[in-house]
Amino acid sequence: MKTAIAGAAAAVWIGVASVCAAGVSTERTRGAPLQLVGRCDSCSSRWEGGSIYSYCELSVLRLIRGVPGADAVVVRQRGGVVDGVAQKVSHLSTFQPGEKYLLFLDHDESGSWAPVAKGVHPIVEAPDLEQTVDGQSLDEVIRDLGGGH
Amino acid sequence: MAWVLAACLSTASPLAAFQLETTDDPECNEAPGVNCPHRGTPLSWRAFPVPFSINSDASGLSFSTARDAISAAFSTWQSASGGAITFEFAGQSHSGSDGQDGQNTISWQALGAAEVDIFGQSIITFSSGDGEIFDVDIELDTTFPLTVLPAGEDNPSDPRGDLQAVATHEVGHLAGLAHENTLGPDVVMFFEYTSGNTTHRTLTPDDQDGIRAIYAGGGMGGGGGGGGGGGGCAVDPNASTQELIPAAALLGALVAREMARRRRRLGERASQP
Repeated sequence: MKTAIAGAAAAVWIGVASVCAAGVSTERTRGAPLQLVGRCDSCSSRWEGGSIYSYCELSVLRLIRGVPGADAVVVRQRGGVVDGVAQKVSHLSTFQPGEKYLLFLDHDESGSWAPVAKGVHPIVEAPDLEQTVDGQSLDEVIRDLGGGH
Repeated sequence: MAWVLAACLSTASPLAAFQLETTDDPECNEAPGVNCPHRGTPLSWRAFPVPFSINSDASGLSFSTARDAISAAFSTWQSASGGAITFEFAGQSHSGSDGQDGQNTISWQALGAAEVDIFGQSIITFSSGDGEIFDVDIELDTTFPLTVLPAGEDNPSDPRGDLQAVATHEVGHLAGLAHENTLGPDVVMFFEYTSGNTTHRTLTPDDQDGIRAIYAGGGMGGGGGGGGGGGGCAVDPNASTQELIPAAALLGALVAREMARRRRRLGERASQP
């Protein structure tokens, strides 16, 4: 365990769930049981103990790996707004309805789908209409991940 | 207000690029040289001193060691603000994070798979309307060894993180600052921290500018209204001078309006019995 920590901890993030372009595919994201491109349709938030959690429904646009069980998945993430009180984790942002994301998901402690570390990547439509993620072509990233459709 | 104007304009320079936590931060992937957009109203405390308590039960450190390192982190920001934001140690705690309890607790927790590669994170609870901060809990990950390194250590092969350095970064979030990724890794609010290093115990001028912009100017913090709000200070550091002219004009108008309002208020006060 200590050896593993020594190898991994040389450059560690403080409050970061994001990656540079070369890091879309990491050991952890590659191992995520559900990988997809989705569009956030709606979000709702509620208090659970002393934390606000958001539940966002995302339509599955492209499935890369795994079985979502339906045409849409509900993703649980810490943070949100309830009755004018907002909560955020310093390094996390909440999904924006209407936006598309490349997602790497796993079940969290509540059994809900939740992003793995560095598992949320907004998709940007370039002027030439190519979709990119972290500056890379989305198609290339998906091919790199082993997804073909 | 004039000071706020100067501070806002100064953020246009690559030498002053601090970022503010705001009520609306869209999803974004950070990287060296890339700051995320911050929209909406900047977050700030409005009541002082801001209390904090420490739960070191799972830290592997003695309470006094944890308290001293974390208290030093708070003192660093308080000093940089010139006392405009003040903090108060509220004692030892055995509780974890709770955004509804009004206590600002620093505790150690196993942050879990979704938070891998993170030494610490801040959970900020605030008004979605005016950005007033109600509660901030700091969670330090038990997965990674945090200790008090010898001052000045710079040894990337040391897997241990420096508690005071990490706490200084997180207290920056607690105060309302967001990540600033364009000026390099020495900036305390840079999104990455390298283990075996104590550099982040010390604020850079940009970090100092950031805390002063929120609190020492009185425009954005302290309930001073929206004069500096709307992320107005989060100007793109690469913006050209020409791009700033409209912003300067707008700020000038705001300054004039605020001065006129103050004159009216003084007149009203003077006329009251």
